[in-house]
Amino acid sequence: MISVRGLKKEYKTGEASLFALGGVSLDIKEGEFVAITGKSGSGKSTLLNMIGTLDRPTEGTVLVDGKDLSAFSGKQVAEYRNKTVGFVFQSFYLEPSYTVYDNVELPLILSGSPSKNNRERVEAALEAVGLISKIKEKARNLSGGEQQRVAIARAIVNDPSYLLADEPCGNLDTANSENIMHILSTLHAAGKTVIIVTHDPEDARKAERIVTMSDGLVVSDVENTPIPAQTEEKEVV
Amino acid sequence: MIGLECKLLVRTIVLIGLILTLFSSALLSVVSVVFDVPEGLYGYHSAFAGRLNLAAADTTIGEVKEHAEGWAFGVRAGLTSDVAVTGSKRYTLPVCETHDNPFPNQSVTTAFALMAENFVLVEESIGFRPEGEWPTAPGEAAITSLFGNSVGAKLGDTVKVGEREFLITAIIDSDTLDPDRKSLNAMPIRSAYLCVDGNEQLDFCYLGYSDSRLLRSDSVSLKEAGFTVFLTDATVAIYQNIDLVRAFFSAIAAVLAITALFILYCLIAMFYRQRRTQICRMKLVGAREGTIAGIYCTVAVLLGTVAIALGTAGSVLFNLFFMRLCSYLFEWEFASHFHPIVPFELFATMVVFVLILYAIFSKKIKNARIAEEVKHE
Ligand SMILES: Nc1ncnc2c1ncn2[C@@H]1O[C@H](COP(=O)(O)OP(=O)(O)OP(=O)(O)O)[C@@H](O)[C@H]1O
Ligand SMILES: [Mg+2]
Repeated sequence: MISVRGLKKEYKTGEASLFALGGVSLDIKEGEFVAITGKSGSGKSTLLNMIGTLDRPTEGTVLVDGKDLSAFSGKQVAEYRNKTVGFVFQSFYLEPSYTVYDNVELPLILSGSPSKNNRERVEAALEAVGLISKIKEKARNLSGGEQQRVAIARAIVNDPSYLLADEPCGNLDTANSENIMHILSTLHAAGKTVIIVTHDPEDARKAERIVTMSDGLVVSDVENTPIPAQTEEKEVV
Repeated sequence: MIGLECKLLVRTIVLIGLILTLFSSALLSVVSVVFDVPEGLYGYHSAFAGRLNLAAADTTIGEVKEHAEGWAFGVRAGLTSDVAVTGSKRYTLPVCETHDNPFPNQSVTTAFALMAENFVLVEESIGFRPEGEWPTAPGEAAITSLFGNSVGAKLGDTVKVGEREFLITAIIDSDTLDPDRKSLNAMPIRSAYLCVDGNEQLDFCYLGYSDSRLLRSDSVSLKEAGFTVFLTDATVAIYQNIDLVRAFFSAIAAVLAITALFILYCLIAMFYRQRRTQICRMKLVGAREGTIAGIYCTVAVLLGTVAIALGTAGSVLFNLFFMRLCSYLFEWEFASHFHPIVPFELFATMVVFVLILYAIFSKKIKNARIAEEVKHE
C-alpha cells in the first residue's frame, strides 16, 4: 500500500520558484495497476521519483507499507530500491557493456543473495519477459524493445511488490509498446502493484485506474476497465 | 565488474603513477624537514633523503675542517677492481666509509669499511664466526671473505689505508651468519673493518658513496670520539648553506604536494563525471555508496599497484633530476642511491590516496541524484 500525503516539490531556479508538485495525496492499494497521465511538465515523473526515493519531497510524506520513506536511512533506502520497488525508465538505463545476464543479476548481487541461486532467478525473470534466448548478449547490442524487456527483468528479479515505470514505451514503436504493456499487464495479473507514467492514452487504458495530473496536482482519478491483456505472446521484429 | 573497470582505465595508471611520484617525493621532503628523520628510515635514494643527512650533520657544521687532500684518488670505490694490490700483498683502500663501533666489547676501536653498496656491522653477537681472531688492538683488521677472495688477501696480510697499515687477523664469511639474521645481512660485501684508537686523528677517514661524498649521519658520532671528518668542497657548501637548502626543499615539497593533491582531485572529479551514469544505475538497483566506492577503490588499488612501478621509476628519475639540478645551480652534492624501501613508501602513499579517494568518492556518490541522471540520459 502506497500512501501519498500532501506531497509538494519545489524547484528553485534563482529568484523564481516552481512547484512541480503542489500538494498531491493519493492511495495506491496492493495489486493495483495505476496509470499516471497528464501533459508534459505536469509532475508525473516527479511524483513517481518520490515514490521510488529517487528524489526528496519539499513537504508531505510518502508511506509505503506503512513506512515513511523520508525517515529511511541510507541503508534502508538502498534496500528499498533493491527489494521493494523495481524501476523501468524510458531510456532503459541498462549497463550497455554488460551482458543481459549481468544486468539482470546486479540487483541480486547487491542484495547479497547467494550466487548459486542467481542463475535460476535471472532465468526466471528473463523467461517472464521472453528474452531467455539473449541471455549472453551484450545489452548494447539489443534493440530498444529488447532492452526495455531486460530492464523489466532486472526490475522484477528480486521480486519486488511494486513496479514503477516512467514512460516505459516512450522510446518504442507501437508493436514493441504493446509487447511491453502486455508484459506489465501479465506481471500485474501475477500480483504485482504496477504504476506507470505515460502520456499515451492507449497505454493508460491498459490500467485499472487512471490518475491524471496537471500543474503538479491530481485533477482526476478514475477507475478503468482495462482492455484485456492479449493471451498469446507477440514476437517483435 | 572489476575486470571491466580495469580495461577502461589503463591511462589512469599513468596519472596515478605521476601523482605517486610527486606526492611521495614531497612526503620525503616534508618528513625530512619536519622530523629530521635519520637516514635509513626512508632510504637514501633521493635528494630529499640526502637532506636527511644534512639535518643530522647540521649540528656539527662548525667543526667541519677543510676538505680532504686525500680525495685526489678520485676513484669510485666500493669495487675491488679499484683497489691496488701490490706485490707484497698490501691493499690500498682509496675511500672509506665510517661505521659505528662494530666491536662493542672494545672501547677504543672503531671500524672503517671499504665503501660498498651494502654493508653490515660485524659483531659476534649477530652470528659471524670469523676465521682467525677478531681484531683486538689498533692496527688490526677484519675483512670479509668476499673482499679477501676478490683481491687474494689472506690472514696475516696487510691492508693499507691512507698511510696506515692494518694486519688482517680475521676473515668473515657471511655464510657463517645465523640463518635468521641472513635475511638482513645476506648481501655479499667487500669490506675491511679496521681497528683503530678512538682518540687518533685519522686522515684517511673520508666519507662517501659511489657517486657522492656526503656525510653519513652515523659518522657524526665519531667526531665526538675525536675524529676529524673531512669533507669535499661540494659537501661543505651544503652545510654552509643549510638554511637555503632547507628552504629550497621545503618549497619544492610544498609545490609537489599541492600539485599532487590538485591532480588527485581532478582525477577524482573527472572519474566521477565519467562514471556518474553508471553510479546512478547501480544506486537505482539498490547499491549503497560504500559498495560502489568500494568497487572503484578496489580498481584503484589494482591500478595503483601497477602505477607503483611507474611511480618508483618516476620518483627516482625525478629526484635524480633535482639532484643534478642542485649540483648545477648550487654545487651541492647528494646521495643518489636507490633504496628498496621506495616501492613500499609508494605503496603507503597509495593506501593514503585510496582512503582519500574512498572518502571523497562515497560522498560524491551519496549526493549523486538519480532523478536528474534518469532525465538526462
Ligand atoms: N531538477 C529540476 N530543476 C528544476 N525544475 C525541474 C526539475 N525537475 C523537474 N522540474 C520541473 O518540474 C516540473 C515537473 O517535471 P516532471 O519531470 O515531473 O514532468 P512530467 O510530467 O514527467 O513531464 P514529461 O511528460 O515531459 O516527462 C516541470 O515543469 C519541470 O520543468
Ligand atoms: Mg516525465
